[in-house]
Amino acid sequence: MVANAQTPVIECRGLTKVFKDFWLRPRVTAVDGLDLVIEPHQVFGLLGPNGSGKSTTIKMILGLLFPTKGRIAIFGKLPTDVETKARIGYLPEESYLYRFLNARETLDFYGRIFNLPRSERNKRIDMLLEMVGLEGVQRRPVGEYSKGMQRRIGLAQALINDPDLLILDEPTTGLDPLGTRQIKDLILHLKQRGKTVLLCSHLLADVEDVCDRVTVLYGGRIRALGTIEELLSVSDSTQIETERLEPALVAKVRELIEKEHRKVHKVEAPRRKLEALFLEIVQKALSEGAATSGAKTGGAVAEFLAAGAAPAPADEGRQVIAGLVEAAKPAPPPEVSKPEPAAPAADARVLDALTAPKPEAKPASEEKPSPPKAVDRSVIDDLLKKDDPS
Amino acid sequence: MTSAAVRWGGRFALSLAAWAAVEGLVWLGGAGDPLASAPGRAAAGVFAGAWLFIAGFALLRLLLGLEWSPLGVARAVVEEAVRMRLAVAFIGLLIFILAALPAMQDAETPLRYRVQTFLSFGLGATATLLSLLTVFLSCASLSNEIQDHRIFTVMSKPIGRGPYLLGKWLGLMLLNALLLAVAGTLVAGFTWQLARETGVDTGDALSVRREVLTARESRAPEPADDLEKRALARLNQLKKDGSPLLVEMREDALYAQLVGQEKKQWLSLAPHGQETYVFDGLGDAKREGREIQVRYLLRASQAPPENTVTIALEINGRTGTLRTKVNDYQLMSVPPEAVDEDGRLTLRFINENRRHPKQTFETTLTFPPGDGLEAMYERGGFAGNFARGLAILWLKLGFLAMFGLAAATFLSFPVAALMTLAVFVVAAASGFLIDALAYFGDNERSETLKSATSAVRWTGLLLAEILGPYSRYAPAPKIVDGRYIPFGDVLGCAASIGLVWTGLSAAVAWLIFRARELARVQV
Ligand SMILES: Nc1ncnc2c1ncn2[C@@H]1O[C@H](COP(=O)(O)OP(=O)(O)O)[C@@H](O)[C@H]1O
Ligand SMILES: [Mg+2]
Repeated sequence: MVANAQTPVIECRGLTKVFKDFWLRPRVTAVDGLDLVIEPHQVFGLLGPNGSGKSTTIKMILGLLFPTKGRIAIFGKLPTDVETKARIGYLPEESYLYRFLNARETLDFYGRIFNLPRSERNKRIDMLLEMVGLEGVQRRPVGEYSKGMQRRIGLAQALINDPDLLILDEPTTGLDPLGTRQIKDLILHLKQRGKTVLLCSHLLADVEDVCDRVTVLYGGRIRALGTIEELLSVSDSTQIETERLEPALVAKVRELIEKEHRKVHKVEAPRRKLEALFLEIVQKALSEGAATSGAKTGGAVAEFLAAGAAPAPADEGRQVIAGLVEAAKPAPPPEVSKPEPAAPAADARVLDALTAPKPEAKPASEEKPSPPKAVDRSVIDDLLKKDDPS
Repeated sequence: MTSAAVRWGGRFALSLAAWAAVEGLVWLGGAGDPLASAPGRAAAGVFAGAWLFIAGFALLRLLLGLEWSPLGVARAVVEEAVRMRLAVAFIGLLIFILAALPAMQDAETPLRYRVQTFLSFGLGATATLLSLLTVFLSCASLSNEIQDHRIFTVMSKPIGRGPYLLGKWLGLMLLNALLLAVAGTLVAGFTWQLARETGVDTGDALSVRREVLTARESRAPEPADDLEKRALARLNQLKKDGSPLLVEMREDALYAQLVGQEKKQWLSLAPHGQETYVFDGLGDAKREGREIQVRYLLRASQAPPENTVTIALEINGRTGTLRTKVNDYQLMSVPPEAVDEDGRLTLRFINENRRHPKQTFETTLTFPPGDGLEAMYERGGFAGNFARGLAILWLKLGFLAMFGLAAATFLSFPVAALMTLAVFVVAAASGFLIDALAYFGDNERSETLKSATSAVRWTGLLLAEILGPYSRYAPAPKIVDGRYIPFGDVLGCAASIGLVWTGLSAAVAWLIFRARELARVQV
């Protein structure tokens, strides 16, 4: 709806960061000649293994680190510009908070820095606390919070100014599945409202579901860049999607294709997963001997641990965890008028529904991509309504 | 709103009842005035201190709630100090000291000394505890915030680094203002309470009023013009004679010593000798009809019988006999009419028993330089003086706070705190250091040692000289001695320590902080 000829929200050219040691000797090249353009209204994913330079890039964008080389423009201004900060929300990779302030005071503290008038501040704080599910514990000092709760406060603080650009550094670490789900919903919602999001993660599922464009970093360099579609479409094969075919019919089709001396690879698996791409990129970088200052791919289980031990059945373990998560969740409220498959317990299905390209399947959830809880949606709506024309 | 009022009212009533109960118990225990005993005083201190703090804190919160983003940062500093129980620990410790102090003093000691000791310890404890609190809090509040990355979130919001530092400093200043107000009220309150007790005699009780709970202007005698001329002449004579003194000592040090000798000479009365001292600037006292107090200390080279000498004193040409104690401060009251039209008071001391010159006790009498002889008159009340003294303390704390913040912009907490503490110690002791270092190393024989010690001396002197105003603006001794602290002192302190030193620290802090990569970790 808005012309794309605007200045990019973030523009990095030849961005390089070399960490020096105490004697000013270069020690770590964390970011190496990075070119990055993030256009308005995009959800941009910054992917990469641990230590690949994602957080370093973000800190340079925010002016917390100064680049060794290269330029950064954020909303066309320098990262040190104080005024542009009013349009940014930032969730750091860990939630660093004043332990002695309670949730409400924490949000008030940040709200005041934006010079939000008191009434507006209080309104937003109420909404945000409800949205992140902390209204019940808002009077407790955040130092007593669990990691996930602190994460939620961190998210709320990043949204207090209704930012045009939201920078999330590994937002889902420490969050329970519901919280994770909520973050994704939030991102999609913000995108609908024309906001820009920079999402930085090593969790592929986070990125795949919500990002328009993705960059994969390794050793501070870009290894892949494009839309999810571009990156994940497989050019050397064709996929035919039909209604369900009986095995006999499948065999006939296979026969027909083989008659033309073509090979049939697979019959299911409609699309490559991002995980495969990611592993491939890292593997390729490794085989090329690309340098990284971050974590290398872990090896096999240490011998002394593996020796004689029966390998744990991986799937069983996963099921146990899934069961635990289900048990810990409150019973879904009786949904009367909601046609969406939105029961909070059915996370996996909701996720599928979101990712699978089924335009006609869900008429009811066209506008709102599967809310897990009716309240959350309306809270977000209220909070963000102000400049939303729809 | 109303429920909060009811709740607080209830708390107040409850604590009032508890306090009354404690005082009642002490009274039943037969201690007479319950406030004269340590437990009674402690209970009163806890009650008053707690409620003063609560009320002051509520006021402070109102102020911190004003819509200005640095005040948001300031508020976090204040809340941190209060919730980390730092403020409570400070007030608790102070109340303990104040309650216990009078009990440790001998009731036989004149009340004036007891009140003075109490005031001096109370103010000393307040200043020291608050300085330490400021040093640690200023360093911790910034360097910990950088160290544990809390600063990432704050600094990615629209607040510049300068306003952020300003907010931190304002928080420390406001917290200090609150704590100083509470501590000052307690010290002053206890002092008044103590001063109500009966002295050892009527003169004692009167002197508390005249010499402690007052604010007196003081004038030293104008030194004779030829003091320095005479010293210079002696120096030239020594040079002409090729005196070995000039080999052993630097010339400026020798000259300073000679001036000192001449001054001492001027303030000394040989047996049967006499000297005239002129006190200038007493016109106000004359106009307002205030009595002049001549405060003096006579040191006798040989102890006279009963430590008493009989000498003569001439005021405006009229001579009288003065029987006075030696080796102890004395106060002599002179009517304001003795001051002449130009506001001058002229005193001539004659070291001779005029009536019986033969009975003159043959000893040299000396007024020690410094405060051995001065003319004073009441200029204002104790309360105002006390408040001005606290204001000076507050300004000095402001410098410490800014210096601590500056250190914390680039140092980790322990290093920053140590450095700020060192500056505090040097600053507080700068007067003493300047004296001690003036002759440091003069007696070294070897040339290398001489140059090494002189390097130490000059850096030390430089530091002490730079930080000199810090010890020069020391309000506590003045308050204890009932000396007037002019408002000009507060302004002077605000200019030198407040503007210059705090300003310079602020500039350094801002420059470093602005250029600093906040997310850089150096292990
Ligand atoms: N302050 C620092 N000093 C030295 N090295 C650093 C610093 N911050 C990050 N690094 C290094 O830079 C690399 C990239 O780190 P980072 O950007 O945090 O990775 P990630 O992609 O996991 O967020 C890592 O090798 C890390 O060790
Ligand atoms: Mg990271």
